Formats: sequence, structure tokens, C-alpha cells
Amino acid sequence: MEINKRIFEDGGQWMASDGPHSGIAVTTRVRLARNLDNRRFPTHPDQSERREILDEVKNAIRSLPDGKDYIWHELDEEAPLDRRLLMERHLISRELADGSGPRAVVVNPASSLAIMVNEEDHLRMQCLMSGLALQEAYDRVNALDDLLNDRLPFAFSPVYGYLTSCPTNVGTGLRVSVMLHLPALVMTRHIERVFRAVYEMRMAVRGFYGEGTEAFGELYQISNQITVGRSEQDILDDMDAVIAAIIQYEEKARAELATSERSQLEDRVWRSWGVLQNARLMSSEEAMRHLSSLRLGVVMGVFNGVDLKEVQRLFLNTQPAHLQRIEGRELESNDRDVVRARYIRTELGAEAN
Amino acid sequence: MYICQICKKVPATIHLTDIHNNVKKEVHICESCAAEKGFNLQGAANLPQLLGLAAKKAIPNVVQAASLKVKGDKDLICLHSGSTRSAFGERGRLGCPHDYQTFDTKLRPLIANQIAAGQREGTSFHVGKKPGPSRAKDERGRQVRTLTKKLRAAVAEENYEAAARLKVDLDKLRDETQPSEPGADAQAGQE
Repeated sequence: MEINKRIFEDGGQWMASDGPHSGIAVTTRVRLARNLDNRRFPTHPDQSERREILDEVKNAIRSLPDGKDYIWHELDEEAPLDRRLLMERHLISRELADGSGPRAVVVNPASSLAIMVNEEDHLRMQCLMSGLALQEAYDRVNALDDLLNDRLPFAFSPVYGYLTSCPTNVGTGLRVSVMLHLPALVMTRHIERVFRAVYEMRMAVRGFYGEGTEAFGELYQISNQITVGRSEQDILDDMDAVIAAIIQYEEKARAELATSERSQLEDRVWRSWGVLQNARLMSSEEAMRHLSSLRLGVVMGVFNGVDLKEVQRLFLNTQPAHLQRIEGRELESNDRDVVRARYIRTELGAEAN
Repeated sequence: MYICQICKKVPATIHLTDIHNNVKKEVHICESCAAEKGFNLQGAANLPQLLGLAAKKAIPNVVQAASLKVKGDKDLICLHSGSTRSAFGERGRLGCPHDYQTFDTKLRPLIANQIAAGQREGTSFHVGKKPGPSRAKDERGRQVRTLTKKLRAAVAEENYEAAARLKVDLDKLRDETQPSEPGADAQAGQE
């Protein structure tokens, strides 16, 4: 089954790049981990139990007020390329994409909420929003949790809180991540200092696709590590304070670049523009590096050849699965670099359609 | 050293622990009695029959656990998921919600370590949201009950001015209340 057209074309509110502080904060993601009581966690090899859980969750979601309009993708029925596409959209994790057995992702009609079923936990509900929007994203996912809690028996202990497959998620089951674009801190070599401060606050820095992945395009995901012993509101408030401090730090570094290293800054942005308009081979990593320059240039007002939304769209569409979907065929890695370079040239108006 | 509680002759080598409503019940039996009762590790689901316990209906949101200690406390098995304490130590993943109670002693220091400060072992770790009827509904229900009580009192005292005010507030609340809460409506309607 091909990935639903609505998901592919609409993509959700987060793609708009118009949220609060979106010059630096790209997206906010809030997720809650929940499990059904008296059932083994999905990491157990018993496939029939996983099937039962999937069906039980499906019935619960169908009974939501707008439940019939939720879009389901059972990943066993999807081609590897489509699974990768959902991962590039941040709708599913790498684990769910690469896993096996009965598992699914379900997306609400507004494309603002996604629920992974049978990842490491039975349910992982997430809300992804543009910019820095911790409270709003939490409120949305919390409302979904309330609705599902009326329909499903969640595993909970008064001592440990919501019970999860891995004890590092127990308690609130809440993971909050903000994707930050920090090119000025990288250029001024202050990024290591940020990492140290983040770790001291008992938070983690993750890569572009979450845990265990690399950081591309000077994009870093900051997330909480502590899920238990603090209330949801405390976790959100801590994260808000840390993110505000990092944003301020990046703004200071940008201001510094704008005054003392203006030529270097302008050179970087315009050089990237030149490469993107002319290159004949472009790997996804290189594309992200140059798009990162454009994003910085646009936000700092030293470049106006494109807008932020367009840069965001290129970030997404130049990733392997998106590129192949747009091209309408599967591509080998080398062919991809040719197609990617041409796609970018066309989109930036350097080459006729 | 325990003596088998079934034959009462041989030393027990299998130690069963059943935890229900935080009350721990231990049963110690020998291997031949266990085999006679048709019990083996794979057939962990037979534990309730083996213990002669009535099959308990699961109480939602309350963790029940049944665990099995094998051969001199060397390992601990959760009878629901079949996961062992040693496997948890290696993989860092639990098998089912019951494991939290089964492996409680191993988990406590781990969780305590996650929590920054001020938490001691033996206390409850979780702070924050709990499952249950959604809080908005809860809160509205509580308000309706309080107002209804006050209204009754006002009527009983023949304080009709206060009663009229309370009735207005109550009507406002009832408008927001979904029809799925007939209790609140019926109560208010009596006045």
C-alpha cells in the first residue's frame, strides 16, 4: 500500500516553519509511552499477542469522535521505501521502520498527532509542531491520552507510574524534544559547551532521526532524560528553560557573526547557494550542509533568494525516500546524487523544468 | 532451607512468589512434587492452579505479579512474561508490566539513580499524571456535587436568594456537562 496522499502532500503543521522562534527552533516533539495492562511488551517474540494488541488499539482509536478519519499504515504491508518515507517525516522511529511483525502508525485527521503501535511500547503517541511549542504540543498529546485512557487499560503502578518496556521511560512516559538549528554555535566553536551544559541538566543531545543517529545540517535534538520523579509540568518547564538559554546563546553567536565576521558569514551563505545551483552530484549530507547555510542566511537577513518554508521543504524532499517518491522510481545511491542535484537546481530556478 | 510444602519431606528447590495487592505469598516445593502437579517453567501459566489459588480476575491498573525463584535464588523469573532477572540485567528491557513488581529490588536502585535528588528508596517514585477518568470531567463532576450540596442546604435554610444564584451556576455547569453524565443531571434536576 502506498503512503497515503494526504500524509505525503499535507505533511502536517510542523512543515510550515512559522512556529515561535522558528529561526532557531525547527520543531517541537512531545511523546507519551503507554502500555496495556496484563500484556507482554512488544519486544516479546510472541507475534499473535502483538496482533491482538494492534487490533485492540485499532478498535479504541476507531471509537474516538473522529476516529474513522485516522489514517493507518501497517508497516508489514508497506514497502521498505515507504517505511523510510514515514521515518523521514518523523512519523515513525528507525526501530519501527526496520522492525518486523505486527506494528503500525496511525495519524490523526489534522496530521498533528501520530501513534506508533508496537514499537518498544504498545503505544507511543506523539505531537510534532513547528517552532518552540512545548505546552501546546503536550496539551494535544495529553488530550489524546485522556481519550484513549477511557478506552484502554493502561499499565500503571502507583510506585513507578506508567510502566514501560525500558525503565528509562517509566513514570510519566514523557519525552520532549526540540530540534534546534545551531550553525552559529558550531561556527564559533561554542557547541561543545552547549552539549556539556545540556548533559549537566540531565538532558540528552540526539541526532536528526532521534536516538543513536547523527546530527546533520547543524540540527540537534535536545530531549529530557529523566521521565520519573518529576511531573509532566516540571519536565516541560525544565526543557523550556534550557531551550530558551540555548536559543539566546545561538542568537548571541549570530549577532557576533553579523558584526565581526560578516564577510565569512556572507561568503558561506552565497557559496552554498552557488553549489546548490550548480552541482551535478549532491549527497544528502552535503545538501543538508548547504541548506543549513541558506537557512542561516535567510533568518539573518543576509540572503533572500528563498524563504524559510522552501528551505524546510528542500531539507525534507532531498532525503533518499522522498527523492525517490518524487522521482517515481527506486534509485541506486549514485543515481540518487545525480537526481538530487538536478532536483535542487530545478527547485531553485537554476534549471528549467 | 525450606521443606517442600506439598510432600513435607524433601527440601524445596523451587520457590514461588505470588504478589497480589502488595501482599507477598511464598510457596516452597520440591521438584518431584512440581513435576507431579504438571508444573514446568514453560507452563508458567499453571501457577494459579498449582498454588490452589482461585484464578484472579485482573484488576485494571493494579499490577499483579507472579514470580518464580529457581535453584537457590540465583535467578528470578516473571511467570507472566517469562523474562528473567538476569536477562533484564543484560538487555535492560522488561518483558511485561508485572516485571516491575517481580524485579522490584533490582529496579529500585536503578530508578532512584535516575531521580536527581530528594528521593529515597522505599518511597513512591512517580509524580504526575495518573490514569483514570479524564480530569476535566472529574473536575466538573466535583463542582456539580459541591454546588448541588450547597443548593440543597440553601433551600433547607429557605435562603432563596442564594439558592437562585447557585441554580444559575449549576445550570451553566450542566450546559458544559456531557449527556454521558446522567448522575449529575438527575441530581440537579431533583431540586
